[in-house]
Amino acid sequence: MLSEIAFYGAVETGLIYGLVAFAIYISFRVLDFPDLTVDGSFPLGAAVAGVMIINGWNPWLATAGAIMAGMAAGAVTAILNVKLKILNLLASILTMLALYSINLRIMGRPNIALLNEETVLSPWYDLDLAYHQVPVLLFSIVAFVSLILLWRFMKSETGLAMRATGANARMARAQGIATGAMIILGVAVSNGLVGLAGALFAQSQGAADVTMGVGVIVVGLASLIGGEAVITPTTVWRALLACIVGAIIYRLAIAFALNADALGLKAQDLNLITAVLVTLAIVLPDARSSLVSKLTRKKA
Amino acid sequence: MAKRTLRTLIGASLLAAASLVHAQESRIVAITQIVEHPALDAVYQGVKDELAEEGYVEGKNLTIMYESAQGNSAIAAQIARKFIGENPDVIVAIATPSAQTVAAAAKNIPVVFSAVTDPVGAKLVNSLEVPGANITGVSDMLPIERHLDMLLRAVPNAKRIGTVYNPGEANAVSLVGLLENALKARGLTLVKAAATKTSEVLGAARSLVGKVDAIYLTTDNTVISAAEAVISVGERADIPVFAADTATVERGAVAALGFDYYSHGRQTGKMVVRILKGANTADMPVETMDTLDLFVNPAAAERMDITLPDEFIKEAKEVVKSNK
Amino acid sequence: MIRATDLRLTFGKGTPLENPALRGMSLTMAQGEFVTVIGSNGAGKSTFLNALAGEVLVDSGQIVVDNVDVTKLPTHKRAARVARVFQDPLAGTCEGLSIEENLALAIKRGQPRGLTSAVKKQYLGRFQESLSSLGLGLENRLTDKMGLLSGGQRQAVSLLMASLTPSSILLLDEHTAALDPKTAAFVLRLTTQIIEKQKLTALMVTHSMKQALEVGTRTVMLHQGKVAYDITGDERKGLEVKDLLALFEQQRGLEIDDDSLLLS
Repeated sequence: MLSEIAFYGAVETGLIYGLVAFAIYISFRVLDFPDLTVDGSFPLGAAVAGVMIINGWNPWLATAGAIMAGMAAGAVTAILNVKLKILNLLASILTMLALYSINLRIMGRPNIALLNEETVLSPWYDLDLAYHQVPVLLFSIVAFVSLILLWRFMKSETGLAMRATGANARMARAQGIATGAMIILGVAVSNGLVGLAGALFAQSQGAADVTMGVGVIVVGLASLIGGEAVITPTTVWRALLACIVGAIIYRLAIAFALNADALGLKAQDLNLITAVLVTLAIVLPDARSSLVSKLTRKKA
Repeated sequence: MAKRTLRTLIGASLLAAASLVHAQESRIVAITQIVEHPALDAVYQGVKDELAEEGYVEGKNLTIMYESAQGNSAIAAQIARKFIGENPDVIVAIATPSAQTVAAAAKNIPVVFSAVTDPVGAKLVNSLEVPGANITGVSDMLPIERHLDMLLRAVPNAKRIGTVYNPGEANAVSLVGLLENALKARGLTLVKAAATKTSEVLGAARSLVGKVDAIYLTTDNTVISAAEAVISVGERADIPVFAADTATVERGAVAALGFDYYSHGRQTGKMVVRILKGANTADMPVETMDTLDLFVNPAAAERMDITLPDEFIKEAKEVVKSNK
Repeated sequence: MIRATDLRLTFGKGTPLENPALRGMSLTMAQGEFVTVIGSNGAGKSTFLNALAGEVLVDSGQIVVDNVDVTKLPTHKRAARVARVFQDPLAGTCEGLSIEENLALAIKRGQPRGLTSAVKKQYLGRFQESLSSLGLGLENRLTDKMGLLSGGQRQAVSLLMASLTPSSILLLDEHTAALDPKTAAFVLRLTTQIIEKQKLTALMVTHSMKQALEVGTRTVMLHQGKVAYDITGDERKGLEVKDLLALFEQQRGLEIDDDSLLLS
């Protein structure tokens, strides 16, 4: 079975990737904008926070810097799409590519070690908690605050305008919404969240590494889709909750796979497992509803 | 009467000792590796073999847990936590990213890192001499000066040395930095070619043609995986290719004054055994590979159109026969 | 007051698919006028509407709405003054959003949006009042997703949405064309009711000559990108569909004559 430490570790990583799932929700679901920038903005957040921390900045300011850097990256992708009319997917790939070199420039080297530096977690270790429980506590608070802020935003006039932009841009414009500006704002906020996730990840893992971004989009999508299979996103609140739940479930599934020596599963099977999970998550809701309608038809 | 009592006593205590050995708890060694790759796999094998030779038999008195993170930081993090949760006697971390994530979470478990080029830069230890906490290990830092000495003995007129490296690999970046300074101090120049993945190594090697007199490859994981690409360019353009690890000489490099990663693994295994026997990591200085062997491949040299001096070949620990 | 002056617009200039949609389109509408627009396919009706809405920008000419020159403004910048009901009932509403959310979008048309809650409590009364006038029971289904409604219901709601806040002109783009006859009649009745009650200035494009004569105060027939006939007042009162048809034929006849002139 799963040890307590492995469980807490999965939840800790799940909370961080829950922020990424929020970001994917905004870009893929709300704005219908497939955004691959995240593979670059995750390590960007880690890089900016890392450099600021080793140069003595307060870790919360460093994290704020990471958020702003992420927003800038997202804005670039969106501007390429809105102003220069480059296809959204392509624009995001361009930014992601550029970020690889930019991240190396920011860090000056491929890896910045943060062990023994003052991070956002440092003061929390003084609390009367086991070492492995501390990140879960802090990140739960961060995730919850982000959840509430996002929910209120999506319910606001601007948030509704953003949702309309993704749902029916022509109608949105007819209602006076500047859809271009909405896209730029949305993709920027989305990548700001990813920058935050990257900064928190680096601080909890002891290093900012330029290769940290590989596969972030896949994990984000798997978390989002998996969460939606568990919590049908009929309202904004449920959709956001599904992000966090899906991310944690995904990481727990990995932790179980790592432990399932009886099944003979090893870490190299994880990509296959991810593919199976996502397929199930996409197929099951449809299977479930058609099964329900089959049964109800029989009754009638 | 007394003799019988003594014999009984001795017999009984022998039995007791024997049963103690039998009831000895199985030790747990957990090994985490960042990515699967010939050099790192050889380290893993070396650790296992060293443990076996020292009497730790898998299944009897030793359990080995092993996971590879597939190059993914988040998975490396989860592997670290899984291991810590199992409370092993020692965690072995192969390569810097795996070592860092274990170090961030394992405060009370002894950790031995392996194949980490710059442990101080990676903040794994306070200093090489006195690690100071629960982490120590073996560094694969290269003795650049000795390598350059070897290279210049083989190709005395070389003025421009080229290297292919992955700017995304921390160990490669620090080695190339050292290389550049060492060459500058000797009045020679370094020409760098970057390859961010194995598929780019060939193109990077090609970009060095006409600009360098010799190529020197560090222990960059990306480049070592694609060493044949560099070697083929060296053969076509008549540029001698030198390596930092001996296995690459067998694959076609001219020469290397180095160690092989299997020995690196064995040396790591020795540290693990010392810890299992009770040594304290805080007092165990970080080790480097001091025994260097000269491997030469005269057939490769011929293909790259250089003639190695006879004394050079005579000195070699091993002369690799042509492998083509 | 709406004034369109000598609008010209050619699609695909320089390509083999070049199409001169508007060739000097001019129209002036006074406050409170309800104009119906007819014309054969390709006459430029939809293009004219899109030009007024800002979805296409004209090559030359001027559009002035209530003394403001909007010729160069994109759709969202004109939305404060220009309300629109699309032909496709699915295009005018967001199916993934609830009814009240759609209405909340419309009530802020043309106004800046902030971070306060979109569906405000003080709106709900207005929404319910507005929806109950339809007699469809929608006032009790405010939180239902728009996608649950039929095409006709959605078109009716689109109409309500377009009239929730004041506009200088209401554009109706063949908005009953995609509906079945009964629902079309219902929506048309609703249209005239709303326009009368709020004294709106409206422009309705229609394919149906019957409709064109039955509603409104003025009928304009377009042909080849400009106004061919502009009938209002007494002249219009006496017109029947067959008269309009005759005018149509005359136009087409002229056209055929033109061609034969060219060919011979």
